[in-house]
Amino acid sequence: MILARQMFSLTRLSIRRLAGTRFMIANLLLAALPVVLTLVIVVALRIQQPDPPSIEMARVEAAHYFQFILRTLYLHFVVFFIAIISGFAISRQDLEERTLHFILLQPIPRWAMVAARFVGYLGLSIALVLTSLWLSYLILIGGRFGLGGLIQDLFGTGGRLGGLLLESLVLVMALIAYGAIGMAGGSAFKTLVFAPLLWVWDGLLPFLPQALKELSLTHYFQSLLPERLIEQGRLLELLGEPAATTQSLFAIALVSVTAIILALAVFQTRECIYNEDAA
Amino acid sequence: MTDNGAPTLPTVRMNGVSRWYGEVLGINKISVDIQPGITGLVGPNGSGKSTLMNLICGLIRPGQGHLLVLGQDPWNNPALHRQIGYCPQGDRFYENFSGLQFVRAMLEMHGHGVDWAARAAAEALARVGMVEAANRRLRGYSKGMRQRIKIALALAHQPALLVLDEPFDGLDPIGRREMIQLFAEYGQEGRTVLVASHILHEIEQMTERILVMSNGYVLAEGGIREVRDQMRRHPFRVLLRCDQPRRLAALLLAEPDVLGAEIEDERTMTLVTNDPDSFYLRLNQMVVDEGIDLDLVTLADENVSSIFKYLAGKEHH
Repeated sequence: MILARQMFSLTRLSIRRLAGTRFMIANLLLAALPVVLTLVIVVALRIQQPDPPSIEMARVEAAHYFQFILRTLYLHFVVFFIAIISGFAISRQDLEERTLHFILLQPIPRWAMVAARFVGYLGLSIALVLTSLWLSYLILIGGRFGLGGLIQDLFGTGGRLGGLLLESLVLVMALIAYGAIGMAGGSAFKTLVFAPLLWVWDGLLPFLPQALKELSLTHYFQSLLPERLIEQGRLLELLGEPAATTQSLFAIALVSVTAIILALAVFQTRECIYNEDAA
Repeated sequence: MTDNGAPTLPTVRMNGVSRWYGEVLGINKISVDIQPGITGLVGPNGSGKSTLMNLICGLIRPGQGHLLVLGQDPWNNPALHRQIGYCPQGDRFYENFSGLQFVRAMLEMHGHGVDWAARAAAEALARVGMVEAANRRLRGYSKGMRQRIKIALALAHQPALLVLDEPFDGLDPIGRREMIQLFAEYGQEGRTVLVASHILHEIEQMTERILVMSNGYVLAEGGIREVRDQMRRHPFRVLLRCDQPRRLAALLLAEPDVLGAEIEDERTMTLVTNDPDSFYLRLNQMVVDEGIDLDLVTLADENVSSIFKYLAGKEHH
């Protein structure tokens, strides 16, 4: 009970501290980017086709745009960078700001410190990314078809609610995996140098042979996304044959757990040495 | 000793403890016991005071040797952190917190609930005189106010061991006096207080017990007088007041352990000796034999400052 209270306090503190950093401004801008793009798309569509010939066709078209934003902008860019940057920040922020001793002097086991801070990061980033995702969806569908069309798409013939929830879940998994990698990277490196390398590797996915695609995390996230709207499209060609759900879940879990264990192992032995001490 | 006669463990026991930062020496082969009460840690910059304190607080690990704090290994020992309060030398905080929010947030991590944390934080801020500024942002605090917040945080959970690294930095004279009083009271409660400071006469106001460090070594430890004894080679200055200072000076200068004499005025002189014990014995005999009226004999510089100056000088040479 005491440990739970301690972890809750540290989680709350971590959220507050992350929210107060310069990284948060970068994260807010990243999260705002797809929303702005969606707004531009809706305005452009309304100008191009003020009265769509068929509501159903227009809805399919809007859904395609949403899938494009989800797969390319959210998964490959927004979530990736928010997670990597924030994960890196929770590993390095106290060391950089020379406030690590305040945390290390707390009567909390170190594994619990790492866990509480990771949960804090997740809480903040999930709120940010899912708010952005749902806002993009609301703008795209609601902005095109109004409240009635939106309700119809979510709960009626569109039946998008389940798909949207599943897509949200995949983004949460991506936040966990990339956040864990960011945290492990922050334990091992002083700068974010590893982030662009990983991003380029994930970006090469469409150009890689199938066997190599499976060495990329993006491949498994893409595989988990519901693809009923793009069954045989070019996107599928680019992404390759999707992996089975169990294989995807296993790969994502393996990477996440390995990265968290690595971050834990480093933090477990971390000493409170700022540069000036060693000078 | 405990009630059943068993010897009590010191609060801190270091046995051959060394710590290097790469090729830079932090401390080397230090073996000391620190007992309850106040102990002053004296030494110039880079002497290893902060390294010693970080080791005691479990923030770093010894490279060699054994270290016990309250009978336990402090490294990676969260339970022990409940019994240690640390005021670091560094001046970094969570700047967007207020003083009260900061102390409370830290105390909440002890897991005793938010009410306990709020109460303990308020009490600690009151003890260091920070009630009025408690709700202002840390980034707007003066150096002295920030220092008080660190001290409040260190003692808010009533630890058995209080480790204070340069706690008087940035405090005005009134603040220093208040904090000296606070630490003295804390030490009198039977707790252990380890204070590192450059402001040496303030250490003297709190304690007789000091630990002198230089270049990563403990050069001397004990009471101020004991430390003197450990530094026998250091010449002592003795102030004498008598009716015939010139005659007494001439007589004393013939003695082998008297290194020099200086007449201050018609009744006062200062002598330099490297063996005060035998000097005192001979002086007593001499004033009786020669009929000199001696009304004051005192060590002119038996304080931490003189030891420190001596050490600093020795280092330069």
